[in-house]
Amino acid sequence: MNALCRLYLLLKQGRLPVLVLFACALLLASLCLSRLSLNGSSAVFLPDTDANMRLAAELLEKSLLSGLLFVDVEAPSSEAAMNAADVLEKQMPRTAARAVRFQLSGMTPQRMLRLLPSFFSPEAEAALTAALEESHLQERLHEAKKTLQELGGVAAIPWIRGDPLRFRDVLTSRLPVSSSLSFLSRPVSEDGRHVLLIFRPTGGVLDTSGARIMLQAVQEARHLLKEGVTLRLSGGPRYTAANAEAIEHDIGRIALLSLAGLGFAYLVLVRSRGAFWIFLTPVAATLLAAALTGCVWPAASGLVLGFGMALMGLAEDYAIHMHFALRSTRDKQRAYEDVCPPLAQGFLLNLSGFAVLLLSSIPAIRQMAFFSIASLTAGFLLAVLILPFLPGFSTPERLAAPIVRQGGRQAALARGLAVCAALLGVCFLLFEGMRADFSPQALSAGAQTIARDAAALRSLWKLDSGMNVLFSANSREEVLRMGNRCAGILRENGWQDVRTPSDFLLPEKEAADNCARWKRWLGQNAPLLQTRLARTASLEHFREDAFRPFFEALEQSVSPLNLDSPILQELGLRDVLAMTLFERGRTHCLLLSCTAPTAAENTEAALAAALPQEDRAHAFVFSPRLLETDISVCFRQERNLLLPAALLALMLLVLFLRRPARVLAACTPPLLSLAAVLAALRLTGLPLNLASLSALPIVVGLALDHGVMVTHALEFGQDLGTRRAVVLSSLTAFMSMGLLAFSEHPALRSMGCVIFSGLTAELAAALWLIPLLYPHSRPKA
Amino acid sequence: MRLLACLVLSFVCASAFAAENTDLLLEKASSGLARTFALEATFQQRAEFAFMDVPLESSGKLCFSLTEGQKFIFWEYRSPERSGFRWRDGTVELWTGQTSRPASASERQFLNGMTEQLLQWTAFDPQQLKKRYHIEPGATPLSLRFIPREKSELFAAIELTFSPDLARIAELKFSGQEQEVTTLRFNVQSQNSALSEDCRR
Repeated sequence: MNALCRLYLLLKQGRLPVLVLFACALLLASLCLSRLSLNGSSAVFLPDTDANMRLAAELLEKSLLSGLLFVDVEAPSSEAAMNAADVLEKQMPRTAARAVRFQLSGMTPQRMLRLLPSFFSPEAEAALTAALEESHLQERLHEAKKTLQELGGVAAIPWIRGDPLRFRDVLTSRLPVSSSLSFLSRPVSEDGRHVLLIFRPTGGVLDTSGARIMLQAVQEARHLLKEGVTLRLSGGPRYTAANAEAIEHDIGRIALLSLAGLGFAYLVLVRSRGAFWIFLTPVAATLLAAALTGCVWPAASGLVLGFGMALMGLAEDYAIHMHFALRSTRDKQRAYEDVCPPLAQGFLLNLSGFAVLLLSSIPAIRQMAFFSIASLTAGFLLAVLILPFLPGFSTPERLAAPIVRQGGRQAALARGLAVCAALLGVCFLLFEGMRADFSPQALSAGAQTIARDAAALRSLWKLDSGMNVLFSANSREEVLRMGNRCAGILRENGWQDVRTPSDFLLPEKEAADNCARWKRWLGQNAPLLQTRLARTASLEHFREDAFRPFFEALEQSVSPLNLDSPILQELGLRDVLAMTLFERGRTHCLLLSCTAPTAAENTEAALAAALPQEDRAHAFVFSPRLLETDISVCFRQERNLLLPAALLALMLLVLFLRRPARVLAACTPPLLSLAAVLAALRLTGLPLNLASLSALPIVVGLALDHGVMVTHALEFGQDLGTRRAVVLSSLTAFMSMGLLAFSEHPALRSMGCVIFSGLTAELAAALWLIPLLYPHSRPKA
Repeated sequence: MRLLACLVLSFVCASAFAAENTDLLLEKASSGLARTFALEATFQQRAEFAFMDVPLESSGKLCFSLTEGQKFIFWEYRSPERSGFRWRDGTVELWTGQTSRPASASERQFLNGMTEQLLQWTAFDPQQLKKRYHIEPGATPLSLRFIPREKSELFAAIELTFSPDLARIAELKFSGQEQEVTTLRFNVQSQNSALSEDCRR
């Protein structure tokens, strides 16, 4: 402590250069802050010890379902559904989102025959050679004629003229046409009354303004649509927009009240220029902490940014205590020396709690702990080393009575034991059966409605019933071969909806070989094909030029299909390719999706077992549902850090305060606030979630600080303006964060509820309960 | 000049008469068709394609019943080969010869869409039809020609010829984009009475 005092004196002597240096540090911090960006990836909430979980999250973010807005258009008829889909697509601003196609569209016989050479394997060659048999030709043309005679046969004309021998059969089994999708450019349900539209936000899933524009466009489209048309939405942008809207609404309602409350608290309790410095301290501390965090993690999670704002209340606490202590006497040096030890103890106690969180396996929690440590350290160092010599910080003097050592009081051990045991018991009882929800949805606005719509969409469009396998290899050729091989085996074993980019993209060498084979085959068989088809056509009454489109398509130039082939774009396969065939570092990856043949308990294991032995080592099986369960389990496991944090804080408390009775007295505010928090959560029915758990350290930390300060004042009989400081500190935290209990946003409401109830209780404990544990010593006879 | 004025006048009069006639026919047909809630008919189909030497002829049976709460459509080709479908409140059954087969997703989609169209035609709401089609007089006094306002891939125009009592459609002619013409002639066996056993497979 002496070292701290000496350092303060040293800095005080050179206050001007110190202030200049401090200003430079703040400027530098502001510059560093520009480096800090928001990490929107879910991977930051996943334990880095579990590589599989992180890989699954990374891949799912890449997957078809991530970050997109799904709109199910339901109408009384298929035509009305298609028209409504057109209206909505036109209504969607191109700047906010673009429609995404995940299915084959725009297929024509000409395009089919452009694709065919690349897939002209020996099996295909055998099939097409057999198709040249006259009996086969006659059968095909007879079928074509029959089709033309039937209802809707007109629709088949382009195919009958462009591909009379059904060469397309070689390809159709390979192309990604799902069971519920067919010739239409959009997914349409079997009864035709539902159309699925998919939009990708141009600014990413966390772009709040983009998400709100998208939702607004949907809203506007609703007004334009006819009666009976229902739009059902699901996907990340809906969560983003709902959260942004709820937060904006809450801030609009609460911010003014919060600011007025803060102003009132400063006006009534501080009434000095020191209020400016007190207010500036948490801002500077947060700025420095954010800059430091940005240096370590250039992309910080949203948890850090949210928690950082909440932590300002704790960082401010040291400045408030220092302010009132220095104002309590003319002998500032003595007041400084008296207030520093309990301040430092409170700081170290808080630090210990956050230090334990550095052991968390979740990067976001580690970032939050680092940020908290940096913020508290900056707040404390500012309060003890810089604020005291700032002009106007400790004026006017003699706010309270001058320091008079009135003779300390001793805490009563029995009373302390009884109170702490009772509070612990209450906490235990309240904690038993406490509802916990650590799913990400628990922190989102309108989650229930969105989840209901999402479930409806999932069940209608089978959006997440599938499993995924990631294949990795050193070359694209290899990974495509692997995908093709495994898809074949899975299909043979009854796995359904097997989709892989290797269905429509072959390794380049194989495609080139197939093209060469096609050229050779066509060169050998074209005259025969022409003669036989002409003969059979005349037998079936087709005119000579009936199949001209077919022969023209056969004359198209042949080039092996590759990733850059324009036909992939024409067929709407570019989006699918981008998301299913990609590179991670130097590794080439391919994503295969499928649905289990029967409902099994462990479909992941079943799928892994179904893969060929040689590919298993390169395959990684995952599914969104499995990941969601893992994330919830992982968040729940983080509760295990609470006990070591509490034990470490208790050990330090014993080390600092030494006497058990004082330790017990200092523990009453955190214990009472914990009991109040648990009671409030039980009464409001709010679950224990990540937001409430994040707010808990702030409440407990502030309560511990106050416990230490008040017991110190009572033990040493000093009035360092402690009561007023405790009131102001609690009130400012209450006004800035506690009022969030009245928000609509569940995360803010949970956080606010914890701070509201916790601070009310700790204030009562610090002001009235602790003094009750210090009986007045009877005058000695 | 006088001759030109007469010509213009006669053209205007003819156009006005034609438009009035079209509307009148449309209204009358609408009220006539609205009374039809069940029908059993045989049909003759003749499809002419520019790329075929001969027209393709076929015949079959059409039945429909659109009573409240149950919609039923039966369409079967009986010559040259037997094939058809039955649609009952969204459920589709298909057959070829004596063999039933499940409808594929795209077939179901197609048949549902087509049934929807058929139901719209049986409703024959003049206002709705005017919104979707440009309507002009057909080749005969009892016929109307419907040209889609939005380009359709399936047909360029449909010509309906009504029965003399305007209570049913006697002939349907689809003209396609590639000069193909499909004509369906109906021979009504019963109207608004219980469907016979012949409407079952």
